[in-house]
Amino acid sequence: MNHCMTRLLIGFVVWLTVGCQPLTYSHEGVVDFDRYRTVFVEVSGESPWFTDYLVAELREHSGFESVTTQNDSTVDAFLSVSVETETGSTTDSDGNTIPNYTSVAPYVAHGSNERVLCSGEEEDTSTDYEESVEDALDEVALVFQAPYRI
Amino acid sequence: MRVTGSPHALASPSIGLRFQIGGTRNTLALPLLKADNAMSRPLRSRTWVHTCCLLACLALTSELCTANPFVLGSRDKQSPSRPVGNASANTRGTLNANNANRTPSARTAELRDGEQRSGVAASTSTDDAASGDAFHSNEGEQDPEPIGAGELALAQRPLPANDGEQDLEPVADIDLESTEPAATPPSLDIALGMAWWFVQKKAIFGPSIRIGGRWVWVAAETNLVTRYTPSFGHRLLGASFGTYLELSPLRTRQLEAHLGLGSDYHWLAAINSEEWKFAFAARASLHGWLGKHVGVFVAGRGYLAKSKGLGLGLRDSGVSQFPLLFSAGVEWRP
Repeated sequence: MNHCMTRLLIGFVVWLTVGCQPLTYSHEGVVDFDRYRTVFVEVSGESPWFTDYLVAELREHSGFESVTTQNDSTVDAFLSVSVETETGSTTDSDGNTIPNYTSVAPYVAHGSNERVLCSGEEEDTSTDYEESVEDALDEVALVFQAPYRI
Repeated sequence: MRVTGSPHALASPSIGLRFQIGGTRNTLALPLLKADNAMSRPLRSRTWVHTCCLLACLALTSELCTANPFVLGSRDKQSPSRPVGNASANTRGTLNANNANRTPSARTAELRDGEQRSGVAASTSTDDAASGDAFHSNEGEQDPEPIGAGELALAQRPLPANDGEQDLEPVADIDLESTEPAATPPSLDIALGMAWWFVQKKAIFGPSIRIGGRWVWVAAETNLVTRYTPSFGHRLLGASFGTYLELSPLRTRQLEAHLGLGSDYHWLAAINSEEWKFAFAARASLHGWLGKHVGVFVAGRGYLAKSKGLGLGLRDSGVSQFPLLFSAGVEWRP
């Protein structure tokens, strides 16, 4: 019984080894990054560092070849983001009041011909103000993540 | 783990669920459900996670509450498939229960008489006479039931003086008690393994663990994911994590079959630390024990629902193949 089962299992494993199946991870960009290579970014919000942060994130993760804050005729796309943060509070089990911040970042990207390429809204809640804003902007940057297929 | 959900309409005619796990954005596509626009009510992935956890807890609790020590305990202690002497565990339990109802003199007389047991029935209690079990129905020419070591020891003890027809006072049944299996508390079996996925151009391997009883098991696995490139060989791509709630319809000493539902999370850290792919998966596995502690297993899984961009059976060129992924490995149990 042992020998029979062992042979059966070994044969099955050999068959599996020969018949490996593919497993593919892929991501399709929300815009055609071959056509829209350069993007102009503008973030409206309470602090000026919002724009710098989003530009850095887009340069690291997005499929745009160039991300700039200089609006000139060379850009292929425009990305406008407005960040608004609401302050709230929660009470924990000990009765302490904990502030929380909800940042909402609606965005719209359009081409030079005013055609809307992509739009949406990202939201994040955190007990830290900067973290809530950064997380919301992170999600905006991830929308424009570079495509891949591996 | 923080999970937030929001409705999201995908480009394809399907319902999409964008959710976040601890700062990680993800998108879940449900291709079987069609919708024209975004959903009117926000779906919360948290609800699904909590529901799955609750079901797992209920299943394990049920397993513990209804546990049979003969089944759930260690196989080495007592197994229903392993006979004890010439009698199975249940038969042995019946014999012990019958012995407990008899007076010592009746039991002793039975064993001394050997094949002629019909005369002993008269001196037993009325309960025994009414029970009509196999022990008493064996009369005349038939062979007696197998006698345990404790009963033989009892039979060899000298009989005390018995004045007339009155039974003796009950004596301590030390030998019989020592041969009975100890009632063990219900326990869960555990198996640790190392699995290897059979995938093309990638290597996915890692440890796994499964805990359960006769019917219900919980399995978890974590794997490293590497991608093969001709120039650089295998490079680390990320990791995958899987949790499954499984049923075991077949379980013998050497073979176990499991069917389960669960989730696979693929973390593609090399692309982005916040890049995750999620799949709701069905898995079937077959475990064969080659020895007391070591075994092998094979498993196959298919994805019932998955994130957009997670292609099981999909080649780089876009060609679809059989959407079932196999894995195999070795296991060890204490």
